[in-house]
Amino acid sequence: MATPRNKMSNRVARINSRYGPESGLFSQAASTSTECDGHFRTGLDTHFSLGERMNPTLPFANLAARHRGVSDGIGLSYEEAARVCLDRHHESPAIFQIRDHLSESAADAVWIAADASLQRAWANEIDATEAGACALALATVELVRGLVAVRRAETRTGADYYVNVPGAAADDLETAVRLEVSGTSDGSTIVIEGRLRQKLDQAAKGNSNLPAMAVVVGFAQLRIVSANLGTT
Amino acid sequence: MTSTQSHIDSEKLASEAHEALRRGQVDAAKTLFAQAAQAEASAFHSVGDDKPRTMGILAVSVAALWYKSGQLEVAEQFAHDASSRDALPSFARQELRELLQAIWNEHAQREAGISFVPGQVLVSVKGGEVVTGGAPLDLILGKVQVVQSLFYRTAEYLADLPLRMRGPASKTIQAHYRPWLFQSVPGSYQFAVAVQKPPQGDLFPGDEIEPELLTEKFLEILRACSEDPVDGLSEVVTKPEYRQTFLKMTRNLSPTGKSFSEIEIRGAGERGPVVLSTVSRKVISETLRPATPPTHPGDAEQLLRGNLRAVDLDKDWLEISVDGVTRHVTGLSEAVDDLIGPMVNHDVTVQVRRGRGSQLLFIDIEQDE
Repeated sequence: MATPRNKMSNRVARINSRYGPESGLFSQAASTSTECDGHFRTGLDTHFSLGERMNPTLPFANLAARHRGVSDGIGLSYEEAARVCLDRHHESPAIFQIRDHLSESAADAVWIAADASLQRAWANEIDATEAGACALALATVELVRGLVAVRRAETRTGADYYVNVPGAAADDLETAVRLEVSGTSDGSTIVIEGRLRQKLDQAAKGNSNLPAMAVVVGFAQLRIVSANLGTT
Repeated sequence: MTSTQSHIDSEKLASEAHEALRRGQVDAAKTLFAQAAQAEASAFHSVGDDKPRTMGILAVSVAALWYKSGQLEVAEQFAHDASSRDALPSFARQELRELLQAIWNEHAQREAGISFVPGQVLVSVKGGEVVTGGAPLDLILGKVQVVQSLFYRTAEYLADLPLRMRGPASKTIQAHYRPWLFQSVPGSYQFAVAVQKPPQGDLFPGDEIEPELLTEKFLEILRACSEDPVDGLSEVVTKPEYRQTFLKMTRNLSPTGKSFSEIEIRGAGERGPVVLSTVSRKVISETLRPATPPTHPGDAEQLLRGNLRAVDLDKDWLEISVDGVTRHVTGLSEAVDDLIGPMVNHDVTVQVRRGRGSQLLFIDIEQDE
């Protein structure tokens, strides 16, 4: 009889087989699955559990503790912004639907409502959405692929994060995955999917810095979609 | 100091710089960006040719940090030096070229002796007939005109002026918020729009507008029109008559998919661009569609596709040539000048409904590509 962990491994194996070249990343995700209260959780398949169905939690708090490419200050500001963005539309806890390439899953967002001073500090909606989306995007790649930010590098219009397996060297970015983040506060599902499509199209045409993946966060819709760039 | 330590220092300083920028401490942010650039340059110089991608990422990072510190000459020099390294990957060369173009634009503005409101708006037109650095003239002229109109409309809205139905923006608005067009980086067809800083004076006595607010509001309106044209736009633009006008202008900016597929508008320094696609156009059109169905069968709507030959908003009519036959349409009361004016002598689709007899009553108009 298969043990729960074996069942999970089988599930991951099926996904790896389906995704082919991405299997390395998904294998890593499996290793980050945790056992809690008798339930094995993985962002790959939240329908799997021993007893009652439980969603994993999106880990957007204390990002700096796990993502060494995120400084304490930036990690805290991302978390604050995410709370403000979530408060605009929802009350804690809320369930995000996540699609990573073809794999659908769900995860809980749990947060403390922002107080008035935090709301004032993040009054600029564009800034807040951008920073809040970074928090949830990093949490998503950690949850569904087991990757963490190892480095942040500046670009003309902002900064890119590079994600890799935990423990990967920060001064060697040859295989690190560049993370493109996009967020929308009010955007509909059409807008969220359109953003991802646009990033896929851009990467397919241009001189892209690959490997890369895009994550689009929709706060109102409680929807996160992600995909590898340059492979479609 | 090791490469890793240099980079850790750079990341920390750059993070602090971004935080300072968010708090509005521009000078402190620039100092921190310069310190971050120095640390990142140290990391860059220690990377060997056997790690080309790492080298490329760091090269862009160093140049971007110098650029953000405001030390444009140092940024330019570094971008040139880094580009000369054989091992540098093509994505990094491309990004360094984009940075150089941004630097040259800023140089040009400084040398012209004209001050611009912080925050240029970069407009990229992509796909279809558009090629790298080139696009059909009429397409670009049309889009530039809509962008200019949107800027003026945003200024009027911020000034709490009543919606202008006829004629161009007042000379005062035009003089105080004059958009300039700059060339931008080749790559699709791109141009940058910067608003000339207004002279000191009483433009709107007792109700001064912060000029910096203009580009911010402009982008906010475009974003709401494209992403959440009902509730989101209501929050950003509280006057319903302005909402209709902004929606129609944003629709005019959006592609039908025939000549181009996408237009992207971003504030300089902002990561999340506003992207207008054929989907945006469809969403906006659905939003603009009257909610109430026709009450009489004779009121059924129809579409006239042809060339817009003449418009007289004062006398409330337009004429469209459909397959060589001129059709007269009346009831333009809600149409505004800078929306419909640029469409004259272009192919358009006019949505009408039948009035008394053979009378055609205006509902909406869209320019075809």
